[in-house]
Amino acid sequence: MVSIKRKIIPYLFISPFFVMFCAFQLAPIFYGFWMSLQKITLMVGSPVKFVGLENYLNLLSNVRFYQSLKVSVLYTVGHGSIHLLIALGLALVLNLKFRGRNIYRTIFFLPVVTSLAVSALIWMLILDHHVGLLNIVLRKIGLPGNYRWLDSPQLSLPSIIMVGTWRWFGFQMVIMLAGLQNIPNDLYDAAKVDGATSSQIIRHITLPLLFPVLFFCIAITVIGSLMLFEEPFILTQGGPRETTLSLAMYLYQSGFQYFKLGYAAALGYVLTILIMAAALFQVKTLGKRAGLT
Amino acid sequence: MRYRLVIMYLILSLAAIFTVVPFYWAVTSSFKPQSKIFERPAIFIQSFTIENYRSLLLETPFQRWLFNSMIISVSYTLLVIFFCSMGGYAFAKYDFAGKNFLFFVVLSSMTIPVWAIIIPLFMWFSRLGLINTYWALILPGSANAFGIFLMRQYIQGVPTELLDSGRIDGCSEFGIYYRIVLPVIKPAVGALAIYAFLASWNNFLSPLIFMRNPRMFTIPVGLSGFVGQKEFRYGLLMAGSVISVIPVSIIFLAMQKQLVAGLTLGAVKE
Repeated sequence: MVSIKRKIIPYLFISPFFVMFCAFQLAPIFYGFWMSLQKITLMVGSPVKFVGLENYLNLLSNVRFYQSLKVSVLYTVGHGSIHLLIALGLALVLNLKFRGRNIYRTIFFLPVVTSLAVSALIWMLILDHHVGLLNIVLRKIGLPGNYRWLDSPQLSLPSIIMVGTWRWFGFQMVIMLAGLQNIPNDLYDAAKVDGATSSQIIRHITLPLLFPVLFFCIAITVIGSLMLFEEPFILTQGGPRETTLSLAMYLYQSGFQYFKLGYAAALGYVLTILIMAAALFQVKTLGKRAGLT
Repeated sequence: MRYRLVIMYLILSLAAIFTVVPFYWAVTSSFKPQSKIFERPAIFIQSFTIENYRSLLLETPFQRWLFNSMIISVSYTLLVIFFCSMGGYAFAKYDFAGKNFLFFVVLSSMTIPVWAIIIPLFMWFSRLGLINTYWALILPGSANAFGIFLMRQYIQGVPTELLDSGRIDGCSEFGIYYRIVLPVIKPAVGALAIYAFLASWNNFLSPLIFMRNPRMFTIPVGLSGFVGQKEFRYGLLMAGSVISVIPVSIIFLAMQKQLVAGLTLGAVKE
């Protein structure tokens, strides 16, 4: 009797979690696939129809899908490389011991606790071509200062990358800093005794030892960037001329502006597969150096 | 050496300016009259007013949005702590059939984007009448994969002898969780609480999709609705942004250590 009770106990402890997990995480994933095989429009009286792979075929022959894929990939590469490099540089500097470094760390982390939507709203008043701070400052120092940061096809995506950089570099920096502080000091001491210069130390000791952490940062950046949504939704609505139409933005429009729910579910699946493929690709190419395999 | 130090502080200061200026601009703009923002934009405040805050609180449903955000974030946080600490305890301290498989399923779910889940959920919630209810924002995500991982990691560090001594003293299994484990892992629960509160407070996508009635909006969704309105007032928008950032900044400044410890747990092996 006692032993049966003992066997049940752990299941009792995990069951509240797993009931919720199955209902709101696992079940929707499977149901989403079923939805993606149907034609569902949220209009009164329009019937739900099983269409097999039609949504996927439509998607793969749609120009807007490829445009959104291009935007998401450009954003991932641009945003990823810029903010990770800034974060790495600052983490290396903040890893030195000097007065006031905790203050800097706190400052850099403040945007991270600001919601993405509110970040975008705040930046709206900086990038506004008429009353925005950026153009005001440019005019004050004698430059034209009439750039259309958000509504010109050339500048819209770079502007959104800038907002993303502001929002995220502190987050990555804190993770890298924790990684740097885990590198044992005697390694540095030994290198110094051998007469290594500080750039040699960074190249041959710091970066290789930090690589697992950098790998983690790159991985979460790619996953996060492929889901870019709030900034284009608030700042550009995917425009101008679809230059900021990210995959998630396209999914949202399909599902909640045109109410093609089956099509949007198919897009959700494609996005999932893309993210997993990107993760797998990274594990295959960089995983060995990161000590994963 | 001195030359290097100068460059170092220069880089840090530039980055700090880049970080702080948007906040500065939001705060100052929230205290400027509408006419000053549009007609003669200036970098410093010239005529100070609290008109934006007054009309935000009295002429828009902002108070209601603040209330909604609070209710949702607090309930969500409590649920996350409840589910994850209990589940994490079982994963850390018991052996049971299927344990590794279940844990693997939970962890792999972290790579599934919310976008694959939100459309089916929207469909279900519409049918069940959960659109425009707090439940739609509190229940999904409360069984949090990161949360159960965090809890398991910390509870593994709690000595098993401590739990056994509780058993000898006649404590029930639930009593051990509630009276021994929970008090010992308080710091980790704190970290999880901040993480969950921030995630819910800052969530934009779910309230955007599940809340259709403006009175049920949360702060970020309500504020973003100001954009593109006929009478678009930047000052109002900035006042709302400032109010929404205040609670999270206070939490962050007060509990910075726990937050950072929680964030870096997944990335850095001790």
